[in-house]
Amino acid sequence: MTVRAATEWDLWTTTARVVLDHRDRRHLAAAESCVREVTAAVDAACSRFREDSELVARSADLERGTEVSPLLATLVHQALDAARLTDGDVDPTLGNRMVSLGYDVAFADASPETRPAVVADALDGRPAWRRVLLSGRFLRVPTGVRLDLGATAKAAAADMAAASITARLGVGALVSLGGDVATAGPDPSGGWQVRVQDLDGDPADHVRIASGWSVATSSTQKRRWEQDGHARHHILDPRWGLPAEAVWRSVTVVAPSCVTANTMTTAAVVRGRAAPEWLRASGRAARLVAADGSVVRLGGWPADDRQSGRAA
Amino acid sequence: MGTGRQGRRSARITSALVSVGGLVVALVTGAGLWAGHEQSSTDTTSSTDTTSESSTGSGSTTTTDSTSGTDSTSGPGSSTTDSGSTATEQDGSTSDGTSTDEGSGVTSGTTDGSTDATTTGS
Repeated sequence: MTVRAATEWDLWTTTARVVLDHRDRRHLAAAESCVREVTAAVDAACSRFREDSELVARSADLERGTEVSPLLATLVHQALDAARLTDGDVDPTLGNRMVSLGYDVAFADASPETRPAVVADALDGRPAWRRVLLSGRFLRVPTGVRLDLGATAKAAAADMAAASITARLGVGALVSLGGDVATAGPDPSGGWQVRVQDLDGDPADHVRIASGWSVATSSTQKRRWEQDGHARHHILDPRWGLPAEAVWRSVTVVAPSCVTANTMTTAAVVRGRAAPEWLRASGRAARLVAADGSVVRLGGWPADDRQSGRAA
Repeated sequence: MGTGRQGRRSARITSALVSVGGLVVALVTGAGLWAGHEQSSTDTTSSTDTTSESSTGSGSTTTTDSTSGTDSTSGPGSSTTDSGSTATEQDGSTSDGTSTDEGSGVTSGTTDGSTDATTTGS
């Protein structure tokens, strides 16, 4: 059994966890500080739930276009990259789509808008994420659109926190933010051991993640609710603005960065039955749990030869 | 008489001392030359860091990290060869016997139930 030094705390309605090899245990407090600093900085840059975050406090400036902090520019860049990688299946403007529809209805009864930027936006038929302008640190967000960087920003925070620990302390580290797991630096004894299981009772795998790699999971079983007799979940298909068909209970991907892993799992849920082919073409190791509980493993994901007996 | 005998003894002693001294000088010089030769041609280092730890009530672990290396130098201006070795993984197997796929970043986990984190949908 591997021996580790680990600590965890509540963060963003989920749990943050940092793990070091036992031989590096004296650095645990400093490592926790690194994670707290990174997550606080990300929160201050792009939280939708803080009036004083840069993204919210400067929303009026962002409509006109303005220079933003390097961190916010980086987070927006990653979110737009995710949208490009997935042809818009991971859309940083999707969270406001319904709000935007409501806004448009109100807008129809309002006085004609003559500001050139607003008129240009109205004439631009491209998806909202394609109309976000980011050039260096200059950011302009289309009128009526508010960015939601939640998914990619959490994964980016995990990447940055793990890298920060290794850079500052010179030790290997695993950082988990609500199931987005990033690693950096030297391997610990026995390697980083990660359990892959969405809900109790779901099939479980136990894998070793190479240092410097990350793993993320997206689920259609979390944040569910009933609407008009239909089961809903929180991952929306941008084509319809409705929850994606729950072809998969969960999708897990291993990638060199947590942002990439998270992007691919979200897109795979949206793509449904087409997901395996897309993931196979990407060459990434992936594990999909179908609605009936069957498991599909792709791209070098280890076979379930010894772990089956351990599945919960 | 006494003087003559003392003179003969003294000569033998002197001869013996010279022989022993020469032998000592030869040994010291030879050893020095050999040591110098060795130092100039080969510098061998090795280090082993072994840690054994036990966690109360939940099992134990033993971690061994070993490295060794050999640096050879053949005089000033000559070629230098460095060779090193670390604990290696062969035939796609890690030291704990699990399969590997270097390109995917993921391999089979250990069978002892150790878990550093759990990835779940959020």
